[in-house]
Amino acid sequence: MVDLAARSAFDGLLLPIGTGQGVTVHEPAGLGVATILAGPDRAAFAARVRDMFAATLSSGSMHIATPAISFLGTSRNVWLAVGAGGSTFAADLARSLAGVGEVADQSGAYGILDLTGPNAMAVLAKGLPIDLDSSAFAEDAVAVSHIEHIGVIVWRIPGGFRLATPRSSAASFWHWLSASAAEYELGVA
Amino acid sequence: MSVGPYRLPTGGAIDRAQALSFRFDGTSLTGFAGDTLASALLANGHRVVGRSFKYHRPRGVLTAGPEEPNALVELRSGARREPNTKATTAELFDGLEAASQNRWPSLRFDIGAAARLAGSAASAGFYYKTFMWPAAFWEKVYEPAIRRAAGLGRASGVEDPDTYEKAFAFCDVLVIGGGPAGLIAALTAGRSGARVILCDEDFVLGGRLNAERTEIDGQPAAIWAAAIATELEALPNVRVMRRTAVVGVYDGGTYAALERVADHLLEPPFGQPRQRFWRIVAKTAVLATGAVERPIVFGGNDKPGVMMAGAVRTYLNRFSVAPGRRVAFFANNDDAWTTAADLRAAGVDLVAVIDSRAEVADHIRAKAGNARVELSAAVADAKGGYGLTSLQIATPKGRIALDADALAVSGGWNPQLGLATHLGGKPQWSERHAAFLLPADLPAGLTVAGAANGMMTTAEALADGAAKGATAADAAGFTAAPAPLPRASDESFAVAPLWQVAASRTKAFVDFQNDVTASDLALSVREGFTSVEHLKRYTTLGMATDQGRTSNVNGLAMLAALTGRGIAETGATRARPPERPVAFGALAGLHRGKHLKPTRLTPSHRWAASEGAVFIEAGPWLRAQWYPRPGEKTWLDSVSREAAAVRSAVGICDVSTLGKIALFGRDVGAFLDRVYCNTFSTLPVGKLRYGLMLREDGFVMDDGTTARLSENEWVMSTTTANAAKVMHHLELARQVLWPQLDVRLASVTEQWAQFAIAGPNARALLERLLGDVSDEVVPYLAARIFDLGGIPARLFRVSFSGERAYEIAVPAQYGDALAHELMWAGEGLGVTPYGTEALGVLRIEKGHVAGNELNGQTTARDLGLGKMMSAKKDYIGRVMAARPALIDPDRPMLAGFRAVDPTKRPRAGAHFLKIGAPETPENDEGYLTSVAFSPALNRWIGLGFIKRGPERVGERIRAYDRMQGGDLELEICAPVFVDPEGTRVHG
Repeated sequence: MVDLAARSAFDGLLLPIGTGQGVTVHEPAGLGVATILAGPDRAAFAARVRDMFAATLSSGSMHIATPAISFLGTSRNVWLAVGAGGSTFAADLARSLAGVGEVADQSGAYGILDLTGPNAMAVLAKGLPIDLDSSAFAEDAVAVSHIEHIGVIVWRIPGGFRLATPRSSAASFWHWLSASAAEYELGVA
Repeated sequence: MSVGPYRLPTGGAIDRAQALSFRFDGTSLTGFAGDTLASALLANGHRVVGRSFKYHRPRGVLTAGPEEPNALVELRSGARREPNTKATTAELFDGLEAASQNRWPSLRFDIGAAARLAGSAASAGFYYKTFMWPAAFWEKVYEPAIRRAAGLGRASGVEDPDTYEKAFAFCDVLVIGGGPAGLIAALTAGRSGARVILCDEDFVLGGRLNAERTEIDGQPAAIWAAAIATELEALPNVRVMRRTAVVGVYDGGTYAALERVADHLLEPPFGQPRQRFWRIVAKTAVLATGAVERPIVFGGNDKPGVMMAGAVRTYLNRFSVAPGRRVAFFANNDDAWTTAADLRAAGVDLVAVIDSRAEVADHIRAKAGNARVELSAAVADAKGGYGLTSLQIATPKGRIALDADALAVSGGWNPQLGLATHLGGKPQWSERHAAFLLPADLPAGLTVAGAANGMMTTAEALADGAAKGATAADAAGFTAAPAPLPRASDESFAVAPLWQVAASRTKAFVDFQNDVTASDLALSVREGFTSVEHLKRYTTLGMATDQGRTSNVNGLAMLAALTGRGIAETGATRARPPERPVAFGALAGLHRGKHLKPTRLTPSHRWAASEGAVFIEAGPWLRAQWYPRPGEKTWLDSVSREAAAVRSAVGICDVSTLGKIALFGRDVGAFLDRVYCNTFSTLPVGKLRYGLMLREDGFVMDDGTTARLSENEWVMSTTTANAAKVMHHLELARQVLWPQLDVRLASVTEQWAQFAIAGPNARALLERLLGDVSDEVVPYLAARIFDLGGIPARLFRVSFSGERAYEIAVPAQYGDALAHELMWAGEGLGVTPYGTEALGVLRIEKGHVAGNELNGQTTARDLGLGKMMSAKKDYIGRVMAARPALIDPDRPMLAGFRAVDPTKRPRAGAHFLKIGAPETPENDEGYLTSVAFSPALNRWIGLGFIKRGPERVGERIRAYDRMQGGDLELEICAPVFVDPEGTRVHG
């Protein structure tokens, strides 16, 4: 019986620079990630999402959070869904949306990092060309952007921000993060 | 401890309790916290700070700010040595080391100063007129000699140990400059609730207020400025950025700024960069950059001891330093007389006041007290060998001599508008100000306030700053309440232009940093360079690190006089970013060394590293190139072993870098028919097909395979290089060309780790993991999904090597584990990891085209794939591919090549010539694209394009490679070298 062990995108990379008093990074385990593509019958898709997840998705850069899943609007009628469930997350989602939308598993495609602490925004300002002030980047905002030429999707979580970045660039992303957060005593949780 | 012979006993904004030790040219000196290097040097009596660029004349401190043209030093030592640092902006710190530059062997005894004797030979444009012949001398003799003689300091020559970073900021109101106008603009906007960023390049806010003895609201101006700074910093919506110079204005309200984070420290603290380069996006901005005092052009005006009058006040009042023992001043305006009053108040001997004007108001004249005053007079020549000792003054009564060791000069003030012209604005001449004022076409969202706007007095600047701050806040959507203006004096700034003293007999400098003299300007005009742009380029006026802040206006005013035009008609050059010198390090940020660009690692990178892989950059990817084994002496040994193992046993190669696009929808088949030149709508579920994609212009764009996983789900593979391009192409086709089709796309390149398993033992290896993968279950060109320990594994029966081969894909988080499993499953089967080099060898042996052949200049027909172009359907590129030039039978077409001497190695890039034909472009018949040593054939082989290639099999041609010195005879052959019948792929 083959038993393949999963390796997270930032496995072995996250080493603390300091105490974490200014900013802390954490790679949440067991998350599933999937791209949701609404089918041509948008009304049926919206109704199914409402029924299954008690969520009303808008086709904009908005983060709709339900207890189980975060729906992140990444382009017109496309969402990135993030939630618990690991390797079965996408398949479960696909079953829920069968006939009204398509689901592409992206659980291996992204590394997910939570950046929290009083200086989290200051760290992101060193790479993210997005105004994260609450007047410009609301609680339910999501941005598809880049940091140091690496794609990144950003949204808010309590006390900070969650980032999704391509797995293949995790080492380069960590180089940026560790250098940029060093002055704020980057810790690893 | 000496506080310095020129340090005044009291006063100034220095901290006398905090002495700082520093070294200049090896001499230990002492200054105070709050000093600049310039003020500390002056306090210690160091009047000569460096040598000039061209004539190596001794030069001192001219100004007290970033406009300084003379006092450039090498700051720090070793790897941190930084040339051309302005001593006037370098904040003093304990342990600072600085050295004068542009001299040898020492500042006082400089061999290069002999160049002064050859003054006429080094006049403007001398390098355009001399060193013309013999031409062969230019590269080896003349240019090196000029380079040695010129230059401004030395780079360290070793890697910079510090880091630099980039950052972004956003605000409603950006205020550029922290002088009186900037402070009150920021305060007005800040009080309205707007998000405000105030940038000031000094380390103390206040600008000229720190240099003057004026009062605001009944208190010293510097104290008022400090109080405003405190209030600003207490506002949560205001960000004060000291030591930060805005250096560029760009579209969309974007501003570039350089923050000198740790330039004032011996070393940056842990985790901090030396400098940070900001991009600030502002809804509105207030430019409050003040004004810069301009010199007057007279003989010897570059002598150490000659200093701008405003700078004299700065050194007196802010740094508590006397500019000399016997000080004169020479001006053409009322403002400069304040210097006389300040000198007297500081107890410095004021020996004379020389004003070019015939009349000066009594209340202005009173500032000089009992000092000697000469009106309608001018300093004709300043004398002194290593510094000023005396002055020759031209008066209506004749020349008189005067002893002085310092001269304060003021020719009036130039509003600093460089940033306002970065988007093309043209400054307008003002006769009243004798200066250029703001352009009519300001950048959108930018207003100008204070002295930069021609409001030259403190009261005017404060009123203008408050108004512009309110306007900016209002424009950003806030309501700024009018605040009572502080009380401030409204000094007179009356000025009568004086650019040049005609009575001068010695060398008179217009541009100090580039050693441009009045004579150079006259020469330029005589030789026909009469436009400001030509004058600049011919004489180098205003082209140095100070960008002519003290020289430009004088220069073009003199040009106007020389050409008989008005100044407005003569015009001014426009500024462009950066407004201040910016180190390359700051522009690069963290992108240096191996982090120059982001690196993408394959899912099995760690496994490959553990196997000893040698990696190669393939675009952004780092891929395993080959896996050396003990005993192998060259890369070719390793690559040949790997390729041979695939032909004889089984090999494993990570091909995850190939682009992967998921396609969903009812109309994907029809969609693919339109984007590929061959047909896909007939592809059954569970099968895959090779496809060729053309650009609109008919040339080949990309190739790859597409599999149909279910009725409405497909997955396309692209080449590694074109993954993003194909995705964009498909999105354009889907969204713009055929929005009526039900097709939805998702890039899944990152999601899937994919491995090629190739070789006669490939099936046996896979069966240990997946069970039955026989031809009945997984026939050639089949696509199947297996359960691999609970993980969905996609299996594609496809071959790039010509051997029986599969590609297996699992979610990327399992990629590394799968690589280990594949190696385990291959034990006893001869399993061998192979890299991109062996991959290349195998595909060249089979005549498969890849990036070398899909180079954007080839058609399907060129590639030997013309038959794939369907005649039964329309598709992107079909019409243009039929252009006569693209179907010309003489076009180079794909063929195979082998060296007539099998031991010889051809080189990709060689051009084909008929045997005996001269090596001219007209005789070019094509070129070699790919070359490999074939272990199967034990010889070098290649692919390439040659005119009518398929018709010329067996012909010998010459492969000529002038770049790499190759000149070989090759035989044209079929492009498939191994297994031309194609039996092994089923074997």
